[in-house]
Amino acid sequence: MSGPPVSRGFRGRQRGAPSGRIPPGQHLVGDFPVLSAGPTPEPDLTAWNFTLEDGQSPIGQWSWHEFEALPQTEVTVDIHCVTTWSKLDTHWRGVTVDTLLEAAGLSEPPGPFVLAHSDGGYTTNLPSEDLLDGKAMIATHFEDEPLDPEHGGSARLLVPHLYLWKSAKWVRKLQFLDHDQRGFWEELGYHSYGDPWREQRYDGD
Amino acid sequence: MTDRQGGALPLDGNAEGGLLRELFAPDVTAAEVTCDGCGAVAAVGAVRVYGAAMGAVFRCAHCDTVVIRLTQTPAGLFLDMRGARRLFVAAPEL
Amino acid sequence: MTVTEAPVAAPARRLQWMTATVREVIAETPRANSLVLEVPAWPGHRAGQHVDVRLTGEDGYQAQRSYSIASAPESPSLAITVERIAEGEVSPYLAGEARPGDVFELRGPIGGYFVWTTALEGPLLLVAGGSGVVPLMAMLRHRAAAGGTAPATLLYSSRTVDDIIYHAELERLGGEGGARVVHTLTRRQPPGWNGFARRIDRAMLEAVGFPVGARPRIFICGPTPLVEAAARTLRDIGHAPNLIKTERFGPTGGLQ
Repeated sequence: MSGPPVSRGFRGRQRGAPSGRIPPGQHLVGDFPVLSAGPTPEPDLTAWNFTLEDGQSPIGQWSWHEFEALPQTEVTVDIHCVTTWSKLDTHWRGVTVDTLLEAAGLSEPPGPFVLAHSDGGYTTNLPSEDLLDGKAMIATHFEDEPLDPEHGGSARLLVPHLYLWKSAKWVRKLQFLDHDQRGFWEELGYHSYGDPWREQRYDGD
Repeated sequence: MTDRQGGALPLDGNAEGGLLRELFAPDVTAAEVTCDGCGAVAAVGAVRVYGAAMGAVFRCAHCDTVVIRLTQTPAGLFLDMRGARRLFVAAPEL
Repeated sequence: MTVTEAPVAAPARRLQWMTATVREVIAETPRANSLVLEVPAWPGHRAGQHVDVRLTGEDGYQAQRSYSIASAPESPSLAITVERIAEGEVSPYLAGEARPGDVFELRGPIGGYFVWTTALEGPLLLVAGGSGVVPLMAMLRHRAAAGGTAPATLLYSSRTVDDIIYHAELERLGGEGGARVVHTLTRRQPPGWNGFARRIDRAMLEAVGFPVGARPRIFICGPTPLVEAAARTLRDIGHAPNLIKTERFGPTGGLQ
């Protein structure tokens, strides 16, 4: 059976073989594309707060002022979007999830899974383990500037070892759960884990 | 105009017409969808759609409720219409 | 392809991917080309509808985008107009590389909302931003081919005079006592220009458009900010929301 007709001379985007820092199927970009599931919320630092929840019970909450007073961490990381662009050496500042758990008086996460909640109703799920040991932060600054609303400011989750849809923009809450609760895109066929190096874009990959 | 100029600008239901035809026999861009959040009625083609290359997120212009979510994956098509109370396709479109 | 009266209702049928062969490439502007296509068994279309185009590379890689149909339903050939977007993936191929004899896949026609036929009564107000003029041009071409007599006005926003797609044809359409075409050039105007030289605003829409009482059918197409601003303004002026139809153009988060 023959396949679709090939269009002479069509090459599509440069997709290099996986090499070094570019995961399979990704291509490098110099800018920072914006992709959202909804309109960009208006930042309101006086109303902003961030919450840790164990199931339905709050176990920690910080106002913006309190959040900025927590120990800050800076990282330089590569980020990979499931829509195939990758951006290297991005610089972020924020509060690691380790720091938040410690500030809440916890030595370990209260549940094995997390559902991150954002303004506008977006959610995404991860294993709690993937937020620990410096692997994740609530980021408030990008390239030494306050995080732009279009890129998730006032604060977003940053989990760079997973596809960027897991780094929920406009994040407001991490809810620890005893079961894996699929989030916004995961319910619609995206992978529950999302490792770019194993090309886990869709459920079943 | 690119999405690098400040925020991911939405398109609308017109842009999802082809994908919707993989699920529905008639063209539903002219169909009317009722938002379950606020009761507002709009033509599917007129509804703002976010999500770009990841999928289609149709949001009510009045209350931002996600009325329709649509993705195309190797496994198949997913359609979530929990935010839509009703879809009406007029007889001439059927 | 048989030329038929455009039906009021599109028959419900499964969309199949068809092979389109480029028959002619027309350079409309430095960035936009029209492609005249041969599509065996093309079922016909209504003005305002679009097609999905799919390209396959030799390695099997595929990319898909949507483009409005530029040709009138009465035309013996199907045509699309594509504007090349910098760093796009599909548009540089279609409006740059493609030449007669090349093939790609196409499915359509798609769209039941943003469509107009001469059977719909009332004056016609078309508002275009950039490449948003394409589906509106199909409407004007249909109106001319079908002998439509209701008044029609196109308000067309472009950056410079060189960016005006279908410029000469629009002048011919205007001259025949047919559609009235009003341009606004937002970035740069040629010497001696005495037309509008700013973004579309309320004063311009009131000056160019039809009175509310005339109940014009309104179609707005172009980049999202232009479409939303124009739609909001026309509602503020008093036009009934159900008479205003919108189609937003833009990158699908890849970039076209």
